[in-house]
Amino acid sequence: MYAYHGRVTIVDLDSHTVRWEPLEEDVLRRFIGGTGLSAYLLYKYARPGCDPLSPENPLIFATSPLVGSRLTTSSKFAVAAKSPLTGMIGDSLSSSFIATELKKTGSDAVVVMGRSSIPTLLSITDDEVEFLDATHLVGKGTSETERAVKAQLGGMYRVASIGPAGENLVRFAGIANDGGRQAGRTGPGAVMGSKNLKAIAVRGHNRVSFAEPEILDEIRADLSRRSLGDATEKYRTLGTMANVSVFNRLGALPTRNFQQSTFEGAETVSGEAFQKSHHVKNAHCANCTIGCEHIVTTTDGGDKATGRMEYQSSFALGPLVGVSDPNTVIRASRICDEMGMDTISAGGTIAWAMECFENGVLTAGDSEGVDLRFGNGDAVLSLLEMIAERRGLGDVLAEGSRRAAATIGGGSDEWAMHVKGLEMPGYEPRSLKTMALALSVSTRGACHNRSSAYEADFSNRVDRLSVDDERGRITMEGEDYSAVMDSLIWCKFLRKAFDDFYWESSKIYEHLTGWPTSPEDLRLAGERINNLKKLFNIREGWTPEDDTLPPRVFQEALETGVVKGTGLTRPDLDMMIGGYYRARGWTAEGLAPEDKLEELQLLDVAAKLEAVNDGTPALP
Amino acid sequence: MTATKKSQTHVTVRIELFGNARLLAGRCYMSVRLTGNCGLGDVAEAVARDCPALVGTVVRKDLRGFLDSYTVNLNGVTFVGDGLRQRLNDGDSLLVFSSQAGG
Repeated sequence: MYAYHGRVTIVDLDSHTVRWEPLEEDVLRRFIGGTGLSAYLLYKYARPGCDPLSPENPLIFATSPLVGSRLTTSSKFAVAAKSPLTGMIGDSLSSSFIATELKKTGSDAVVVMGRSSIPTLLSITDDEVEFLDATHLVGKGTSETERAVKAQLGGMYRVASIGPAGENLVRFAGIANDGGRQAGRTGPGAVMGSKNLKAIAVRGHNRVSFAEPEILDEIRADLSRRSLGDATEKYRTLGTMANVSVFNRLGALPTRNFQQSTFEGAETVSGEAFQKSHHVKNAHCANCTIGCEHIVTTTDGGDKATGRMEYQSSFALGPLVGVSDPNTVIRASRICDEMGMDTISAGGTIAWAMECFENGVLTAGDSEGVDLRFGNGDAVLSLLEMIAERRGLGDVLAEGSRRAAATIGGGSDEWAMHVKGLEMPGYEPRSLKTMALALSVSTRGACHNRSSAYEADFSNRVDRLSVDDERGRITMEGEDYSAVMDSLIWCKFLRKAFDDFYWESSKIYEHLTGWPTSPEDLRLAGERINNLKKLFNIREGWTPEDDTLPPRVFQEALETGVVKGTGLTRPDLDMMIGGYYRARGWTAEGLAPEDKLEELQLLDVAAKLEAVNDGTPALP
Repeated sequence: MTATKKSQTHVTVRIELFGNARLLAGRCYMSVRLTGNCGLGDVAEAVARDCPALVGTVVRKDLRGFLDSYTVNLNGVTFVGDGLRQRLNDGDSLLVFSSQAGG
């Protein structure tokens, strides 16, 4: 077998044992790798209905066929588990050296089951797996943990770790690797913390071979050249932070917990401002020629903070909480990275708390005297640490906005800005109607990355301020395309460098694996993967009512900027959702009929689902 | 007024620059004079005339439009695509920013 090892490492933290199971060609061709393979493994190994923070929830690290090829942006991996925020499928992508090293251990994926009785450092060196006492690492931030593990095991080990937030089961905790890159969304760090697993260190010597390495050499050079052209200019110059000023002008920048879509302080936290006054250097993931990462630093003479800055972090820790001081945004992002928290959910949950405070639902007595009004940057910094430590009000906020609203009450669920429990990213749904649909139907909750539907809204393909049922097809196509990207795994920032994505990717997949593959095979794999994720959610209790948006979106029109007066009605969203279900070939209730599952070669999975619903134990 | 005279009416349009275009130009805005029924090539040419630093980086070298990596939006609402399909009015804004919307 080329490009794959054809096996998965199963680690049991209960018994401190390890075994390897085969991954057959049929499975790999159907689910490819990355988020596709991890969804398959999650479906297989998670006990149906399990508590996400229980030992029965597997934590999965999946590589892909591209890993090891040294093609640009190919060093990526997926992390998956049942999400502690949503109770549905949770997956995140991260990247860099650990992806390559993980695959060199000789497996395509690692599934971690059970729960260790003591804080544990899992060391995987080829087939040698050690369960090491990690008590000395408890309480350490992610950077310090990585340094300590490398000092203990050797500098060639690559490390994935959680910070205090993961240890304290903050439901939006992430997993950090390679100097601060994060698998951030949906709370995988909390799952890792629930297993008493502080860090994983990997080192391997088993390279896969590829079917046609000479052709891949040519493609590597060509793709690298294209990756440095116009198609990636934004990411190489200002990075994703360039979105702030543009979105503000277009009325698409969520501000003060989505109460507005423009922010009067946007220019000071814009990509242009960060580039002029705070930029230190650009950084690359392993095997990446783009170098989208922008390292920024504080300049105000206070406590020095330096780290990566992305649009989603600058939006969530800036406009969303009313903060216009770039130094505060940098510090807040740094706290999230070191404590190991998703910046979007952290900012979103704090924004919810600030609105509670301004509406009198929370008082200074609830927040240890901290003034939680929007715009108070010191309050944001304090709350982030309180959340990571689960101290005072932070203990409530560590549950995420949906659960926090249920605890605090007072009608605050009306302004908890989440879908399926996952906080909203920085795309205003009322002024980006295709994105509104995509956010509502995404299997992992309010997610921007699994559809990229905003691309249609930011083009002349659609009128972003109106609705039609064609958005369903656009969203479906975006989801399936994203599923292929996230399974092969390409970085999405490379997408515009392809002239014909499916054709080029299918040829590359052939050269990697030696398996004849058509563009339609890949497109079908994307559709299959999205249907599998939906099947997982159905198994875990999804109902059509979960495909929705927060009440505010339907109740309040936007008040400012060029989109003033723009809203979204529930019937309009329902119309788009209906179009999406039809485009998918699903029933009006959002369920895949048997012939669709047969077309997608998912009947075997569906049969297991049926058996589960009958109450019979079905999963092997 | 005849159709011919109307098409030759000149308007002043504000060009708003974002991202790398703004950094290259060293400013956020510029005003350009155009005919009301001009095309995107006319806009690009006017921008290039006002700020030569944008040629080859934002504006195509042949001045027939903007690079594919840039998009143009009218008044923050309408995405122009590969051509202006409506008349420009005095005081309109044309926003120029990256066509890469990811983040």
